[in-house]
Amino acid sequence: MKTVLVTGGAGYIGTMLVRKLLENNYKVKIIDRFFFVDEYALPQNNNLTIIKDDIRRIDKNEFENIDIVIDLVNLSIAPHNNSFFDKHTWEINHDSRVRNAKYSKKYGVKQYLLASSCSVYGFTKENITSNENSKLNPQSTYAKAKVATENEVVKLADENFMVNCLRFPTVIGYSKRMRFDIIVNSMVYDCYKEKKVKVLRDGKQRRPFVHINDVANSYLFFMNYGKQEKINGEIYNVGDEKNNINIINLAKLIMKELKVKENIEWFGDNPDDRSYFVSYDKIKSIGFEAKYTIRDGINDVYSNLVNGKLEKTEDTTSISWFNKLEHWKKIIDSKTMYDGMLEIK
Amino acid sequence: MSETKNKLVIVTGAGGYIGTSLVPFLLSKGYKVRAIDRYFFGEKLLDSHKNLEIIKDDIRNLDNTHFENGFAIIDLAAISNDPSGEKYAKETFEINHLARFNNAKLAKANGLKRYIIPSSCSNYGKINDDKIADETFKTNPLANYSAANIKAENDILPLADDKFCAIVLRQGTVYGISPKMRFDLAINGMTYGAWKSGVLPLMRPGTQRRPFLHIKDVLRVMYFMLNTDPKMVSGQIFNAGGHKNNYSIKDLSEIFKNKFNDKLKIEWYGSDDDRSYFVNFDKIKSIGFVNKFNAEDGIDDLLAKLESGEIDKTDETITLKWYETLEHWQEKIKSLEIDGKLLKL
Repeated sequence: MKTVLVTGGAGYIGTMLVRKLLENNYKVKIIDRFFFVDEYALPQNNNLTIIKDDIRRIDKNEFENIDIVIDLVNLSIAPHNNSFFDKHTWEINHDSRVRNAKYSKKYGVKQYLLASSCSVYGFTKENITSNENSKLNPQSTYAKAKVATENEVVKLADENFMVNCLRFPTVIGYSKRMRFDIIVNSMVYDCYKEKKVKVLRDGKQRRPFVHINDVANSYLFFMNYGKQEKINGEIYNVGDEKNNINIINLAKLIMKELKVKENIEWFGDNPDDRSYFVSYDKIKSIGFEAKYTIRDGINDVYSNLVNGKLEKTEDTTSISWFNKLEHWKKIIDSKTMYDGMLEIK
Repeated sequence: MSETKNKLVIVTGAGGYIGTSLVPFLLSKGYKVRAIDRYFFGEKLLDSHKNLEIIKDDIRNLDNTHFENGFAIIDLAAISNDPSGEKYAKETFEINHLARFNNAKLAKANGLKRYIIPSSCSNYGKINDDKIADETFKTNPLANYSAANIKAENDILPLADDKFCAIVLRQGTVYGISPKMRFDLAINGMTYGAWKSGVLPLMRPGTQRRPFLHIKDVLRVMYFMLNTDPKMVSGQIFNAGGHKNNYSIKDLSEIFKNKFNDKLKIEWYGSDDDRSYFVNFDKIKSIGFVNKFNAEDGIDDLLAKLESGEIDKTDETITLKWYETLEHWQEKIKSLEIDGKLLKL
């Protein structure tokens, strides 16, 4: 039985991926701060070990007796030029993950899979579809940190240490740690709740998507790929061209799927700085196929809203949740005395 | 009236509804003020002043140093209403009874001349409609809040002697504007509901009778008690207010209907309120205090500040809700922190 260490195992992808790994008879160890959900978001399973800690403090011993590391841990995209989030994005998304890769190699982990992002393509002209060899144009600190991390970790690949970087487009679908701050999920929510969809001007921005189930499947694919030495050190876009769509068409698709009369609320004045379509020829050439469509994602989120499993709680929008926590931390720190609030020692 | 210059008045609960009005009032009268509070509801509600010393501390942990050079103490600090007193029973007795008793002893030991404890007319509980309670009327506490007040009164009054003037003021339900607003007080809450949505919230059954007290009269009665000949007041209980402020809930609803031209919708809430009492104010009148303001004055003040946007019904203005909010976030933050930190490590 192989053991997988999943960093960020309690996140949007992590909570679903961990299930899948356990179902496929892996032993799983996760490390996460649990900022968003508690341990009940993960299955109760003897093959699951949970370390509740910050990735920046992970002990190198945690990499002993691990076969595979899936490095998901990430601070999600924050507003531009926010020094607080910029700093922590570099610390977590880059510094910590590079360190994880180095520890992995040092302690005999055989395979290291980095969760990267198609946002590294940033903004491209309308007639261009980006592939893994395209020039990168990262716009956000998040995307820049991804590029820098990829560059560092692929260098570590050698015959005893398999490294792959998986560039995911925007992920869609239901998760135990739900996110409503990513575009399909948020649009489905608004459409369900308010019978309208908000679209960032001018709506022509082009985006690729991937269903969360395909994300999990892609990890299993790489973990079980027969000729790993042949793809060692390679970077792959993960998804399918059928899920490339521009935002206005996405909005219309959602309203059609949910049978809501077309009602678009435009917002924003600055054009979106992310617009790119992505080619998946490379991952297809090694045999991976993303099965799920955007419509699957829409219906997946919608049905869970309808059946009450999903709610847009404060902690489903990552950055505003962090801001809220920091806001309240200041208040609580300033009001705490003698170790307590009303009750004191 | 004696010379106020340079006399130091210690105000506990200085960051509260009465405190944030009383402190500037005392300063305007030439007193020095030492304002002690945990400042749960905000730390910027008291403007700095050369004669104002702000101390952030818990009422349960005061010592001799807090009483140095004091002339008088007005001991406002309390868990301040019935719902909070029921939820935080232990703290209500610790603060409203034991801490204030301790303050009275410290005040006496440190040579302060006067100790004023604001108590409450709710000590009378429910009494028959044909009776009206004077200070000799048997008390009947129906909640922790009034039970703690009575215990405090009973312990503190015997400390009075010819050098230490201890006074109990049983106040009606206070209303009116203050830097630290409360909308969980009957008249204030009714005014807000009527102003905001044309709905007058009335507590069932509506026949309950209560003495009220304008916050400006609270300030006046405090000033009066700081300056009255100690021989006339020491060791005594006074109902603080005036007969014209005895209203039934229905009386108040008539006032609102007149102000809002009968356009108000009445919304009944709560289970039948047990507390019903009219109070006799002859005793305080006999020593020269006459209450000046009535409900209409308070409502007019509130409406003006609501219109101008200077006050609003925020979470901080509902005492219990704010305590619960603080405790909620305290627990949340505590569970997420590592070494006292969130994202910043």
